[in-house]
Amino acid sequence: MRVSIMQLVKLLFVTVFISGGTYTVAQDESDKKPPYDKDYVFFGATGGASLRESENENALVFIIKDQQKKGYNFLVTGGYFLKPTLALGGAVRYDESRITKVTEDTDGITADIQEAGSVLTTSAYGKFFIPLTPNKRFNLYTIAGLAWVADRYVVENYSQNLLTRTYTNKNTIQLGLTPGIQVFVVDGFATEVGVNVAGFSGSRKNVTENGVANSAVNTFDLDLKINILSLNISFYYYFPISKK
Amino acid sequence: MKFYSSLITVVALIFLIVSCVQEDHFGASSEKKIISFSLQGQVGNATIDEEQRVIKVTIGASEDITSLVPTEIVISTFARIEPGPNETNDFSQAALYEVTAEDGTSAEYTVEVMQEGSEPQLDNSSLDNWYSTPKGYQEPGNDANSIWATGNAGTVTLGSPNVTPLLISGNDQAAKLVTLDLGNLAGAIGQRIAAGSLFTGKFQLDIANPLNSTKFGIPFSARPRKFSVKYAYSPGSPYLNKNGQALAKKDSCDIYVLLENREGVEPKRVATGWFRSGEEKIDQFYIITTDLVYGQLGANVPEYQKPSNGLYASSNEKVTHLTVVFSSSYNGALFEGGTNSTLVVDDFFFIYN
Repeated sequence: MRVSIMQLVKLLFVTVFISGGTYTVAQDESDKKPPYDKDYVFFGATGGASLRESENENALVFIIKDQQKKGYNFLVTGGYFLKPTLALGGAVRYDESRITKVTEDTDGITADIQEAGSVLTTSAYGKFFIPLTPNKRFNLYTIAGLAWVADRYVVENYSQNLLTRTYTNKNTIQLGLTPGIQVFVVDGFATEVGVNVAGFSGSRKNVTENGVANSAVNTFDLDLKINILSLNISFYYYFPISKK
Repeated sequence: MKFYSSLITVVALIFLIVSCVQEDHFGASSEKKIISFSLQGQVGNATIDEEQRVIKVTIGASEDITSLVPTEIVISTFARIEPGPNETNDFSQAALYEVTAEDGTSAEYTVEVMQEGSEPQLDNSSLDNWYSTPKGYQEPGNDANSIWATGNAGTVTLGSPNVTPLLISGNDQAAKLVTLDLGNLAGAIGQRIAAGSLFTGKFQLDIANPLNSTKFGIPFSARPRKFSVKYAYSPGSPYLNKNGQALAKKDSCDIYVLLENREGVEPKRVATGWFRSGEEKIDQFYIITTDLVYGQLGANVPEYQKPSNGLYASSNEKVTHLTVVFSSSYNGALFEGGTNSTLVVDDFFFIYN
């Protein structure tokens, strides 16, 4: 989930305000169980869907006479605390999109186009916590993770009696560090704000046109700068799986 | 711990296997059309009746109809055809071609071949028939399969069509070609002047390289001695170059016929017939008859008539292609000419004796 800088600032203010209040209460209830500890698990899930329909949309060099775009995505993640401040976790994210459209160019030539794409991301990570308060309700954390992204996209363009089928197959390996701030707002429920600060990614993209290899691109990226625009905000539920 | 990690692993594996979009996501194609068909020794364009699945081809008088090889068959993507495109076939009777789509369904096409007479004329050489394009302007012929083409598809991007039908009387129509000044915007990219251009071949607009848009020539095999055509011409002014600068020149029109042999890598000129008008106005139809000169052009012939690659066919090499060109400005290829130069042409035909 991406947010603007202003939204982020507001969220941080609210988070600090709530955490301060929570900390005050927590000092009075020091006998309560911590929100996470060894043998705890955490779980998070998000999702979204979109639908867009348009008619006679002007795209400069052609007109999109009729178009429907739809898509959805979801993320499931969870982990287990091996130690009081160290958890191992995994995540699966899946995005799928569909586009059907009819275009007409300046020569009056129409094209029936259908596109479908999927992006499957699976990752494994270690999550290290640094409590900022004795009751562990306000924490810093760092995630060190390894992810594999399988991106597939197919386009079928039918124009002037000819079908062109273009298939893109891209696999990416990513290795990265994501530090962040975590606040337990309600018992067991945490809000987290993280930012990608360092990462390596390597990918290979193969494109075939009508079943014939068209291009292959290998990419390697090493990035050590903070990308302040890639903030991730997440919500998790933490709970114990064994009695202490 | 084990339960949750196993659950995540299983979910991930299931998605790995079943969810990712594959190349055949939309299923196998059912398209099984013959999109274009051409035969060795063909004359003009083949006509394909998609509804009846009948293809009609005309070949030259000297071809052996019992043993012909298709020179090109374009079929639907992922489809296959039997017999194959390189197989010799007997076309003295209707020949059958079966096209099988990617999904396994098939369709049968009948190819009917006619042999032309020894003195053929071009389809619609009277220029009486015109058809409307999807963009609203008219082109000579009955449909997009016409052997005639114009540069209208290019000029309408910045102006109006500059080749239009002109009613003479009754059903008799002629072609009116006008040299247009496309204005400052076109001048800024060195394409200020658009000469009216009518020719045998195809026009496929190439915005990056407009001169590459014209695909001159159609399959042809006869050896005419002369061509004749009615024309009227009015040179326009001012004479502008490609950037819009006025030049102290007067315009002329070009009407020419080229016979070529394109069997090799480079086309070779077989015969040349070229008429370039004077600078005077011809305001009544005037009939010209121009000889086709076979073989190499002499030293006294102007350079513009000679092949740009300098290649000539020997006297016994056959004709494979014909290019007929009418242009309202002789320097139209340089994007220059007299503004509103107007050429009217009608009733083009070949003379064989």
